This record gives sequence, C-alpha cells and structure tokens, in this order.
Amino acid sequence: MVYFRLHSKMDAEDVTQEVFLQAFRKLAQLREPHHFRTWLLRITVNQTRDFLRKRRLLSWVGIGSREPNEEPLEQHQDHGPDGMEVLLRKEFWELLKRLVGALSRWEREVFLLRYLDHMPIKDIAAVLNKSDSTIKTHLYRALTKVKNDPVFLSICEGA
Amino acid sequence: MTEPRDKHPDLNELLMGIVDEGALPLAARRHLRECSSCRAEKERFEAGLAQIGRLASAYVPKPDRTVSPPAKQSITHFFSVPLWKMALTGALLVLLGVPLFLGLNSRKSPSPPNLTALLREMSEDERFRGEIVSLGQSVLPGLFLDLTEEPDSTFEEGFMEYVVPIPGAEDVSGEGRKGGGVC
Repeated sequence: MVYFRLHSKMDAEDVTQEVFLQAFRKLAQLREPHHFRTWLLRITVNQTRDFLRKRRLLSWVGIGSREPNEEPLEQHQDHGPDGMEVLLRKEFWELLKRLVGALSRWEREVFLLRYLDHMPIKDIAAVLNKSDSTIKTHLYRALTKVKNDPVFLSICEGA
Repeated sequence: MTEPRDKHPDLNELLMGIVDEGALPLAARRHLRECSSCRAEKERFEAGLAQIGRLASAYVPKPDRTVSPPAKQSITHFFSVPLWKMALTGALLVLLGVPLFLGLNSRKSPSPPNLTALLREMSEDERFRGEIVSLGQSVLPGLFLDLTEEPDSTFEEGFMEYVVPIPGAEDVSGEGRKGGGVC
C-alpha cells in the first residue's frame, strides 16, 4: 500500500516502519479493537501523505531532489527475477504512475484504496474520514477519467 | 412504466454500476442482469481494474527489512537493571549532591546583623523624615498656616457658632435663633 504511493522500496520500508511504531505507541488510544484494520490504514495514509509532503518540500528547497522513480533498476533484482520481469515491473509502475497522475488528489487516493488495496467503499470512507457518498463520487470521477486512458485500455486488453 | 429492453445504458451508467450498482435505477439494474453485451462490457471494465490490482500486488518488491516492535517498557524494566549499576548511580548522586546541597545552604544562610550599622541607619532615616516635615511647613504661606491652626485663637466662639450652627443647640437653650446662618 505504501509502495503504491511512494514508488520507492526504501522509502516505503521507512514509512512502514514508522507506521507500525506509531501504531504500537498509540495502541492504548484505540477504543474499538474491531476497527484495528481501519485505524492502522488511517495511520498509514496519514504517514504516507506526510512523507510525500516532506519530500516535496525538501525537493522544492533543493535539499533532496530524488524522485521516486529514480531508484536504480538493480534494486529490483534482489529476489532474482529475470531481466524481462524487471522490465515489465518497471514499465507497469511507470504506466500506473501516469494513469493515476491524471487524477486529482482525492480521486487518486480513493482509486488506489479501492482497486490496489482492495478496500470496500465503507472502509475507504472510514480511513479517509469521509462519507460513503463522497467516496463514491470521487471514485466515479476517477473512473470516468480512467475509462478512455490508453494505459488503462492496454491493461484491459491484457486482462 | 419500465424501460425498453433494448435501451443499453451508456458507459457512464456502467461506471456508476461499477461504483455502486444499488445507485442505478431499477430498469438499468434489470437491464444489466439480462443484457449479456452490457454485462460483458461491465465485466471487462471490472476485469481491467482487477488486473491493475493483481499486477500491483505481484510487482511490489518484497521488503528487506522486518519491523519489530520496541521492547516493552514496564515497571519491571526498572528492576531488571543490575544492582551494581543502581548502587553506582546512587553513590554518584550522593557524591555530587551533598556538596551541591551544602554549597547552596551556605550561600542562603544570612550573616549576623551588624547592630551598630542598623542603629546608624535608623537615625539617618529619622533625620530624613524630620527634614521632610520641616520642609513642608516652611513651604506653606503664612496665611495658610493661620487658617490651619486652632480657630479659637483667631475667631470668637459665638462667631463660629453663627457661621456653623450646631444642630439642637437652640432646643437646649430654649431660645429661638435670630440669625439663621449665613444664607
């Protein structure tokens, strides 16, 4: 989930670690244990958003100019996939980035939570602290933008 | 009134059906159930979205790092410190604390009062007060000083009674007042 947003393995691991540490520290504040998953995902979304904001700020002031997709290709070879798979993987993330890049912030967030994190509308609403109808509106708008995107059409053909 | 069966929903309606099928009108829902081409179109779109999710899950690099929770800190953690460490810390605190405490105390304790200096200071204060009083009296003009002195020395008592009548005085004497005051 974090990697879908950051496109950097190292950053995703950092943020994931921070998410679990924060969750561990604030576990006592969780009033309803059956909402643990939603609570954890909300922490994740907030942490990821904060990280992106910091990265953008640092990039803006010129301290850190590393873009998420600038990760060297060799890093993807940690688990020994062949060259073709590495290329496919890289191509997929670039296409996905382009696909969701056309969406607004909330449309992108809802789209990712719905189709990449496989969350139902109700859970997305709880995580983003919005109503179900707002989530449906954002999702509908996202789909209307995605429907004619050549990237999406090529994925549909491959499905 | 029902929609004709051959009216296919447009793509936007299909998208609405993907987001929330319950939000579609009853006729459109029925049409989606019965029309194989519309259903196929909707399923094709849904399959594309599902494919994105599948590929994303498959192409996420596996994490190298494992996240482990920090060691639980409880009250037993304090007692798990070796005894020699606690003793050493205590001894250091005593060594540092005692001189500090003594130093602060010695600084705070007041020196015995010097009686001669105190008496001299009191006499100076008294002289200073006297100077202030005499200065105030000499500054005032003579007329003011006359007015502020005892009235008996300047004005007769009968005149003062005429100017400022004492209430009930005539009742006591049984005589009516002739003057009636200034006004």
